[in-house]
Amino acid sequence: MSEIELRQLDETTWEIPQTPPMRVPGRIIASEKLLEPIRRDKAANQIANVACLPGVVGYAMAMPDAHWGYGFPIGGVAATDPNKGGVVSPGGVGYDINCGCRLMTTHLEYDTVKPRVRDLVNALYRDVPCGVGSEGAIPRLGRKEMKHVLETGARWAVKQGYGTQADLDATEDSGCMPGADAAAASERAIKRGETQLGTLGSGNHFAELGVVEQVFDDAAARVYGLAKGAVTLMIHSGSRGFGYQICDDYIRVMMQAAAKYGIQLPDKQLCCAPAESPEARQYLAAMAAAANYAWANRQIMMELVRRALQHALRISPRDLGAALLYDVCHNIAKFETHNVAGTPTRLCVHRKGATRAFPGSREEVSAQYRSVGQPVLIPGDMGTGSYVFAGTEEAMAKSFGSCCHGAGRVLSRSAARKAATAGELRDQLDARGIVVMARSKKTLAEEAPQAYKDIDAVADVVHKAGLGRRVARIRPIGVIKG
Amino acid sequence: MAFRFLDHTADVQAECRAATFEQLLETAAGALYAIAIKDVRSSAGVERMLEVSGTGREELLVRWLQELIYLMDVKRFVATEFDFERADSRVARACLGGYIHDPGARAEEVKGATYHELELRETDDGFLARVIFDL
Repeated sequence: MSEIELRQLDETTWEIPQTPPMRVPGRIIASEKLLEPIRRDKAANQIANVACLPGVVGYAMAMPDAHWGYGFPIGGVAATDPNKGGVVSPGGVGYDINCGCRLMTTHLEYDTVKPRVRDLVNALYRDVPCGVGSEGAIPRLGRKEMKHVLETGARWAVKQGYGTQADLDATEDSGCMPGADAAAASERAIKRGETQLGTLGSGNHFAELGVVEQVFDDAAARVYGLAKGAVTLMIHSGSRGFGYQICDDYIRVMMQAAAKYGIQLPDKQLCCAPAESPEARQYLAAMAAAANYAWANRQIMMELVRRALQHALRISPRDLGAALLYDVCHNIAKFETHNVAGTPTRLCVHRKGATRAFPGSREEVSAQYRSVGQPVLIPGDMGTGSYVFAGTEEAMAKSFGSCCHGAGRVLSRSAARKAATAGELRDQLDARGIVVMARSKKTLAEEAPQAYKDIDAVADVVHKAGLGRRVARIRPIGVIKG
Repeated sequence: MAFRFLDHTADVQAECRAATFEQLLETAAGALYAIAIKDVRSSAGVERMLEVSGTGREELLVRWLQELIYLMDVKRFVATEFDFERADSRVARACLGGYIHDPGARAEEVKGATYHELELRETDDGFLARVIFDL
């Protein structure tokens, strides 16, 4: 890959000039320091490739946490116009469809539970299935039930007693993406996912106890229910084997479709089809099914967490006061209306490792957040912290209402393992007052804090670029990993 | 037959070398299991037939690996012996011998084998392939 030319537009915005075969320019939202790894691992080159997709509108974008993916970089955003031959690309969503995270607030005060953190982490580790191939959270579902999961998402979970309507009100798309069709999912996808509902998985998935360390926006924090010193719980997981197989199945379909529709691609993994084509419609129906699986997954796990904490502390649900602040997806393609050259236009917005960040003026935002904007959750590495932002009008203008999804990797897994062993890492985190339990020592080492970008630097860029308004910072106190 | 892993920010890239295309497929399987399974055994008490098709060796390699990933995830099957009936640019068909791994024997979750920067070419000694696994 050749070196990409970049032009700095302002402190946090860099442009990749449009050169053939790009159809639009590229934009990277980053500081000069965060730009270095983006250039180094060729994520900038990937943005230039994304800008070649038919029907792409505005800019192909990289968020501040961007790093090399396949097809789209992780942290990539691109919108296409179906009325202008715009395409849908599974590479713009990723394998882990609707990988996302949710943040729960509680009535617990850190100072009160501090002596019990290890017990709480033990309880989570015991009660939330995690690890490679983890399964068994709920009884194996029959086909009829699985169809309900895929077509109604988190609503199915609430109906089974995992949570309440209030949880759905605080979930993107109310936990159910319309247009899902279980019939669009292969038998293989169902087989791969049927025993994994309600499980965390492995890799960078986690459940994390935290404490609200700093509040930046008092008014928004009040609306969000975030108070300094309060204990929170964040869950990061996705559609498990079901989603991975959907991606696999449809990459093959889309490669054939790209040839059929005469779409020339600089990268095979950007394979795509026109949004109105039968192939794209089938993919979107299957993708929505996977999105719903992921929402059901996170909803079940949140309820398992609630019960584990209540049991460990011997307190009632009322005393725990566990309320879902919000659930965001960060691997998805959605049809949304955006302003294009002054005209409201229906676009297919791909967010791969990127989060929706809508202001309160958008009808998609839950009613309780219209006064301040959608909560935007940005988890960092397990040793540093996470942020809660609020969506902004500026994000609508700059990035199709999108923001980053986390800290982004800077080290390969092998480099991370060389930097510290699992034991050394556990000791380092312990010294910082963070209890960690993981099924795999290898995975733990691979997920070391030093493998990720500086979340504070990422958050700073998000705030300065106006993609989100900083509301609170959360410090980790206990983590479980697969 | 040999494989090694090349550095990649988020995932794992395997480089496989072999004298024949059949051996390349076997080597790539070995690379997959080296990532995904703790302490791969050499036992082969379980047999399965596997057939994949594609429109070229590159696609065939990815389809082959995706099938093995599926069998590993759903059936907990690890292939240790490969008896090929056919392996060309359109079809790979083999009788696999292997074992069912213990539930706790998984090292990494492999989401899939990708087409990203996929490379497969003939060399003086046979074949070389590079494939990225999404973890």
